[in-house]
Amino acid sequence: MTNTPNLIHRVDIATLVDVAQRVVPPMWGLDGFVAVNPLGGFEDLPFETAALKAGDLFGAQCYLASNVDRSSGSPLITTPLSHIARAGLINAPRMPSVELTRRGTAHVAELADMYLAHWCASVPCGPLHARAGHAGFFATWRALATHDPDLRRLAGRELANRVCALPVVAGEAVAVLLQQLGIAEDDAVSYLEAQLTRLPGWAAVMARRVVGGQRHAMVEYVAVRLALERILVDASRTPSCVATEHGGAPDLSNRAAQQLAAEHAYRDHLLSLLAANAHAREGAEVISDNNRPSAQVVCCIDVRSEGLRRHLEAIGPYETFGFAGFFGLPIAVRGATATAAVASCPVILDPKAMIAEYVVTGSLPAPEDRDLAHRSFHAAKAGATSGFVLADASGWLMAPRSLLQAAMPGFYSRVQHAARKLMGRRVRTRFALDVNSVSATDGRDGDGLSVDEQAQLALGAFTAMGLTGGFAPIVVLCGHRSANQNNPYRSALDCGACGGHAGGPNARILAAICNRAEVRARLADHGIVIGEGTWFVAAEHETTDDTVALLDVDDLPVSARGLLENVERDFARAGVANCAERALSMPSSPLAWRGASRSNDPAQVVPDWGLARCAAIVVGPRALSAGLNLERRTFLHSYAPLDDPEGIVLEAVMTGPVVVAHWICSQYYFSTVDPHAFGAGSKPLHNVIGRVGVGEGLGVDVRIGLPLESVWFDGHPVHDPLRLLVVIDAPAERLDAVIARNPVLRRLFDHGWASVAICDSNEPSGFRCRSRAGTWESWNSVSPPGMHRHLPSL
Amino acid sequence: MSLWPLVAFLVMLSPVLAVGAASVVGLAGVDALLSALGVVGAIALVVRVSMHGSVQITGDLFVVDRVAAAWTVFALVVVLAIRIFSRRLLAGDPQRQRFHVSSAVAATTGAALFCASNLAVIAGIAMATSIASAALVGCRRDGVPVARRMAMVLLGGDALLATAVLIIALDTSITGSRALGQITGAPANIAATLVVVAALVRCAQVPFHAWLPRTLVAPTPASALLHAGLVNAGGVILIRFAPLVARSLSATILGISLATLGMVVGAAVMQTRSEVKSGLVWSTTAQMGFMLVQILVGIGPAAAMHLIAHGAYKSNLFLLSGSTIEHDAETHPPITMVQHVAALVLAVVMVGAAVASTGYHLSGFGGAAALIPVFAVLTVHAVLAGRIGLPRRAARSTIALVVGLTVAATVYLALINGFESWLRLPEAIPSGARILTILVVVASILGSVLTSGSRLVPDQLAIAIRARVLAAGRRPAMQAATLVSTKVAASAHPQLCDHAVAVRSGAS
Repeated sequence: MTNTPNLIHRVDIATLVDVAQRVVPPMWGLDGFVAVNPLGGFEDLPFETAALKAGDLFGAQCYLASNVDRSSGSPLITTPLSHIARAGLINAPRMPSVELTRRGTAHVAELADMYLAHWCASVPCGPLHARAGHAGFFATWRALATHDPDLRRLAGRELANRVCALPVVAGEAVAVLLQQLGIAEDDAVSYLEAQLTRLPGWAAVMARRVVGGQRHAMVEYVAVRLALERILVDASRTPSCVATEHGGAPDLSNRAAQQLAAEHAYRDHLLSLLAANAHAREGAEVISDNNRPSAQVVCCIDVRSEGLRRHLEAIGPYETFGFAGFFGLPIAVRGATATAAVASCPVILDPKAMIAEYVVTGSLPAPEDRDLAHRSFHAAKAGATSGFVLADASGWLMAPRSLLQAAMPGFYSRVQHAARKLMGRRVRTRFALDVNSVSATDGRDGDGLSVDEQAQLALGAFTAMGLTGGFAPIVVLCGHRSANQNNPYRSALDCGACGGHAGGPNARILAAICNRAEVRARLADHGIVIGEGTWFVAAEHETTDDTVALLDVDDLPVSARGLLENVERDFARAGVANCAERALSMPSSPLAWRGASRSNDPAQVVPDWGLARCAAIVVGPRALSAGLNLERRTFLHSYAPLDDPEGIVLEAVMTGPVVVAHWICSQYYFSTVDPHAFGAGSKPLHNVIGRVGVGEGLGVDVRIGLPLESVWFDGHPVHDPLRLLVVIDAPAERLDAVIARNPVLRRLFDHGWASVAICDSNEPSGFRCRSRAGTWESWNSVSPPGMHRHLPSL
Repeated sequence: MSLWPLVAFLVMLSPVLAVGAASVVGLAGVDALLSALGVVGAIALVVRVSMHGSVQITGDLFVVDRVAAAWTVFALVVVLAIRIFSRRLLAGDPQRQRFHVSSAVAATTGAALFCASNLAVIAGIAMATSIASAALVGCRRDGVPVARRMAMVLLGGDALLATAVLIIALDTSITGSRALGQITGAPANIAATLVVVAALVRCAQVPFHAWLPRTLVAPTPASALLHAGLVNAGGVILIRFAPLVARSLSATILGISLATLGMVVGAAVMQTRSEVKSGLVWSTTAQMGFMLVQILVGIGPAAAMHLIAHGAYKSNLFLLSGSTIEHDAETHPPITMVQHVAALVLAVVMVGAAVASTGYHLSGFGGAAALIPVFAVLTVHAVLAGRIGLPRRAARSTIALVVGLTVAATVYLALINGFESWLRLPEAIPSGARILTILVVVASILGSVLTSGSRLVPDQLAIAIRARVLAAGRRPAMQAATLVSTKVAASAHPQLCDHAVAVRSGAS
């Protein structure tokens, strides 16, 4: 690698940008919000090192500030010193200062930020775009920049020459600009990292576009950024400064120790609960085996399912399972009224097939006829000369509308609902499962799945959730969604496993698959025998008001429907109980709280706490945690350790749901510890930017992470920022083998991004914990059980 | 002595009384209840004023005439909605009390401005509204620098208004707004020009517009209140001074030119923004331009109605600005010239039918009233253009749309007719109103064609214009960002102000 000018090649540029962009994980946008670890690109470093480096790059802090009380209202965690000493953190060597090469002054960087952020949020060309053939982000900027009065003022007459001298191809332009800015090839990655983290939000949006198939999006973005930098550095009177040195890195070992202490306290609390539970259940085992459940319920692993499952089990003989809410179906789904399909599976999977919803009875209006009033309103609003009379003519209706929505949101939505019902007839829809099953009503077809594929998917799902026999007469597959109004982050409250969408469609599709005789025959070949008396039914848990709707019930025979009435009633009772329990933690007086009023209220900033306070994932049979109040803080994934000697299922769980749970935990963690750098800002200040994300107030960047009100409320933290604890019922050797096979897991557990504990009946305490070095140490409950933190009083 | 002056006084004060009582009692419901009583009082005032004539408070300092009563009802309804809404929206914000207090004060000053009649009182209350709206914008600590700059700009405009009032008082010893039509001569010209510039500043017209986009630093309900009421202050002032301004052709032409520029620039920048609230802000600049044009060409009653309707429209759009992702993203195929022409012809027929059936009168205003039907045609055109040429299965809904729009246009024109004859505003029609109206229409259509990237414009010209429109949209945002430094931004989350700030300021 030589340093001679002109030699950073275009191919190398693509690689350089690829490497540099790892510092910003992709941001998935508002119509399918997906949690990511904002420091995902640093997972090959130990957490403490990453915290320093990222703190420097993003100008952020990665631990909860020391003056924040983690758990307002309950005893502070006083961790015995032995915990900290054991982690070896007290005398940990301090990290060397992270050196960054930044060209230009602070002023230049700020100007470039503002210009670029504004540019990214602009609709630069409108109808011009197609006509002038400006394909790329950089080419568009290049065409418009020569006319830009601001740049012209800064760069003078040379601007046009300088911009025109840049190559049209973004990659080549980056090469030229790096050379002109005097960045040596060895420094280029850290230089580009520094440039990308100036506006982490927009860089993350570009990273998302790269993942979504626009391969050059990031290079184009970098080209514009560097071109601006070049113009501004030359224009600023001050000579461009070389390599800003930082003072020594802040000493964060104290914070790291506090963080670890909090995590250990939670771990001790959870494990002692589980241990006590195991102890209590030893005698009860025989009796519960004789009790055949009247129904089995498969819920999403989402922490909000924990409450519903607990209350349901308390009501009747229900056996519940936890499984990722996409029910193992790597599919895209197109709703009956939707124009395009959405991927309804975790973002780590590529949809294998598109399943289309079609209308069975009733009819939907043609696409051109839908939302006529709404679309006409927006056509007039968007026009340059048409908004004036629109405001005049429609304003009269808007004042009462505002008043109704503010004062009587429930009434308003009922009226809206009734009006909609009046307009359109009730339609019954189903999903076109089979290949070539074109729906007669609208002629649009999906891909469908062959019967063999369907059976294969069902087999995979049953194996993974450990439900391979002993089927109850009714098996409910329960997805979840959240109903809320006027909330740009609504998809953050929907099912993450379904790519930030409602979980109902996947549940309906798997239920329909499992009710087919052909599929059952093929499953029987693989040893999964589903009796004729067993029926699968889909359900959707609405997490704002905890109602559960059973879906597609009229597909079932009359005999099954009788049983369903009981199930429906018990779901309703469990929902009410769960809702009442949640009400205690909602930010208004419990008396005034009704879930339904939250789901209809456009002024509501907390329709639902979402996954706040998530802290652990428990992988194992339900017996491990049944009967415990885990306070909706744990993901629960079912796993039958005896059926999986090879660890194949375990590997799938560890690389799928556990990794996703880690992302969610990290997203909540970083949004809480530094809402300014890693959070999405306060909801009343949100300025929605298309479908990309939100800006906050006058802030220049698009915001990453979660809104402030989801993690902080009225000046108090709602979320308790902890790194994920994984509790698994599996032998250590099996888990070691799985971790050794998967670099992703090695990074997580060896670098302290998540920790893991396993059940071990040979241990007196019942559990063993994995150290970062990979050794297993027995867990000793240090803090007495019961000394755990309660919900913050709000 | 009648009770009505007291009622009017309490109505004006009702937002402040409501917030005060709520914070004393400690129940948010009290706020809503008392604010609702204020609305009831304002409605009673409308009834009383339309039956027995204006209500005077303290001589002629404040006079509740028909237009003031109508404005007050509207303002208090919108304020009530915003205040109930914000109680829940801001529940998680530790600084919410500052919003509640400043929004109530701003509402009260707004209502006082509607009712102010004495010229000096108008100028004084205008200053009070400026300070109150700046306080509203600065209701969160990180908005304070922006609010300070905004107060300076607005008070600068108010100083011009005060100067105009002073000139009038020195020259003619007229102090009431009723006698303004009698003033003539050079002092009247100067005073009219000052009033027009003051109104342009208050209505965020180019080149005095930069303060408005920066107000996005405030929470959404503050924006809703600002755009519902406080930006209208310029319109209120200009409607009161219209008889004076109409006599000065130079002031009228200056105002119309800049307001038309505001219509064009505001709409053009709005079309380039993908941020919802920024789009709404720039649309307000355009809408206020339209309102000022209406006053200046002489159709004050239509402007008085626009002030109400736009306020309700914009505040609702602000409050629901988080809802934009609830609808499917749509891609619009480009509209051909044939579609445009067909839609235009259809729109002319539809609006023509509405004009004919309502007896909408064009004669009384020197031709200026034609402004409304012309813009109604442009609106209908915008709705229909995309639908012409759709497949036959959409024909039924297109017909429904045509019928619906014709009915809406008819109702709308009838509404203006009725409002105009009920208001009884003093006549203020400039000479040459017809020509000025034609010029406004031509300029705004030309401006929209030039800035929208239409095929009629050569590529190079379209690109050059687009670059300038983008720059126009960028400047206020960039100036604002320099006002709000990193340090202030960090103090928005005071819990976290230890090492993050140190790292942040060290890193750049």
